[in-house]
Amino acid sequence: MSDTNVLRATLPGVGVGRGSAPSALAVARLMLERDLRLAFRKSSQLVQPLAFFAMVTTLFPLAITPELSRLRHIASGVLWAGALLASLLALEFLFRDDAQDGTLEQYALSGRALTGLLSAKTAAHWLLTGLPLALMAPLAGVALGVPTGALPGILASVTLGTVTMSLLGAVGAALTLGVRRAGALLSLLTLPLAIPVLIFGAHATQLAIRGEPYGASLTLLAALAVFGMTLAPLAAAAAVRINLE
Amino acid sequence: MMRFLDMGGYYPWVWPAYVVTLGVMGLNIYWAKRLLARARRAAVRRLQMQEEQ
Amino acid sequence: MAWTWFHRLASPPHVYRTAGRLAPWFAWPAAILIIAGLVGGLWLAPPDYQQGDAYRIMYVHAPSAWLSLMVYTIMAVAGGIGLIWRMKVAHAVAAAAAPIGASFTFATLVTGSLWGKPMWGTYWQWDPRLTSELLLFFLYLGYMGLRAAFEDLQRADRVSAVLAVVGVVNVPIIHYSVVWWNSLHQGPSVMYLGKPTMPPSMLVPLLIMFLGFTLFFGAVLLMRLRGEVLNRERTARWVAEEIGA
Repeated sequence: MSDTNVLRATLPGVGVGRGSAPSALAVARLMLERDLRLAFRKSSQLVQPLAFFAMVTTLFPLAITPELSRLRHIASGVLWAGALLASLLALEFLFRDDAQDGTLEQYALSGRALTGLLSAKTAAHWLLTGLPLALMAPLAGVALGVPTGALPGILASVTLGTVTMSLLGAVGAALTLGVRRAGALLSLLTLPLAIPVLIFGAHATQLAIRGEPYGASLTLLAALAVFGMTLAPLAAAAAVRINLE
Repeated sequence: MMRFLDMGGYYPWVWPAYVVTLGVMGLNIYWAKRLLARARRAAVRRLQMQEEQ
Repeated sequence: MAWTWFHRLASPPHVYRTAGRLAPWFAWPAAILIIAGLVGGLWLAPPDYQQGDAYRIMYVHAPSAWLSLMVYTIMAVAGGIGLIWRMKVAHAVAAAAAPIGASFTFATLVTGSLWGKPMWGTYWQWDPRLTSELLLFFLYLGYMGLRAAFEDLQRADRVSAVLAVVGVVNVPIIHYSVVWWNSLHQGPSVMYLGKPTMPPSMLVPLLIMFLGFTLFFGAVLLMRLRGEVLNRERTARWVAEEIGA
C-alpha cells in the first residue's frame, strides 16, 4: 500500500479527492481529531484519572487533619503528588489500543515521520488527561484551604507540568509497549524522570499559595516542557519502532 | 589495637560501612561468576540439543 | 574499509576471549590497590580535626558514588552505540554494567547514611547528594526492570538502551533540580569530598581507592561481559569451539 493509502485507511479524510500527499501538519491534525473522537466514545477512561485525583486529595484531610489552616501547608505537595499519579494512571491506554489492532504498525510503515504522529498522539493525550487535571487542580486546592488568589498560579503550573508528564509518559508507554502488565514498571520508569517537574511545580504552587511571585518556577516548568517536546517524541518513536519489530 | 577498632568512638558506623561495601564487592564477584557459569551451562545444553537433532 | 578492524575487535568470539584474558589484569591490581587503600585510609591517615575517625567512611563512600555515576554513563553510551551501530557486544556491555552500578549505588546510600548518623544525628537527611543518589538507584531499578520484562534478549537490549539514553540526558536535570530544591530548604550539607586543603596522607588513600574501585568495576564487567556475550550467541560455531574444547 502506498503511503497515502495507509493513512487514508486509518485516518478517514486524509487526502480524499486530492492527488497529492497531505502535509505533515494536516496528518498530525487528523490524528489529533481521531484520537479525541475515539476517546470521547469511551468516556470512562477520561473520568477515571479525574476521580482518582479527587480521591487522593480526599485521603489527606482524612489521614492528617480537617483543619484548612494546616492543610494549606501541605496542599502543594498533595496536589502535585496526586496530579503525577493520576497522569500515570492514564498512560497505559496511550498506545495500547492502537498497538493491539495494528494501527500503530501501519503508522510506522506509512513512511511518515513517526515522531510527528506520536507528538500528535501525545498532544491528544494531554488534552484528554493533562488539561482536565489542570482544570480540576484549583478545585482540589480550594478543598485544601488554598486562598483564591493562588488558583491562577495552580492552574498555570499544573497545566505546564502535565505537558511534561504526558511527554515523559509517552516515552514510558512506548518503552513498555511490548510488556504485558506494565503498570508498576511504567511508574518506576516515569516517576524518577518526573522529579524536576514535581520540584518546580510544587514550588510554584507553594509560592502562589503564600502570595509570592512564582514566575521563575513557571519559566523553569515551561523550559522542561519545551525540552521534552523536542526530545521525547524522538525517544518514543525509537522505542515504538523497536517494540513493533 | 583496641584504639584502632574503636575508631575514636565511631566504630558503630565506620565498620558497618566497610563491611557493606566489601560485601557488595564480594557479591559482585559471586554474581559475575554465577552469570558466566550459567551462560556456559546453557550453551552446553544448546549444543547437545543441536547434536541430537 | 577502515571500520573492519573495529568490527573484528568487537566480534563476539574476540570479545569473549579477550575479556577472559584481560580480567586478571584488572582484578589483581584492583585487589592490591583496594588493600593498600584500606590500610592507608583506616590506619595511616590521621583522624580529621572536625569529623574525627568518622570521615574514614569517605574512603568507601566516595569511590562507590563515583562508580554509581560512571557506570550509568557507560551503560548509556554503550546502549547508544548498540542502537546506532547495531552492535551486540555494546548491548552486552550495558547489560553487564547495570547490576554492578545498581549495587554500588546501594552501597553509596548505605555508607552515606552510616556517615550521616554521627554527623547529622540521623541516618537519613534529604541532602541533595543522597537524594540524587536515591533517584539514581530508582533509575537503575527501572532499567533492570525493563530489561527483565522482555523475553527476547535483543528487544530487551534495544528498548533498555533507549531508556538509558533518556535517563542519562535527565540525570543532570534531576541532579540540579534536587540541588536547587535543597537550597530552598537550607538543608545541612556536612559531607565534603576532595576538600582542596586535604593533606596528602588523607588524599592519597582516597585516590588509590578511586583507582582500585574503577579497576574492580573493570574486572567484574569483563567477567559479566563473557556471560552476556555467550547468552547472545546461542548458535554460533565459535561457542562450540570455546565450550566444547
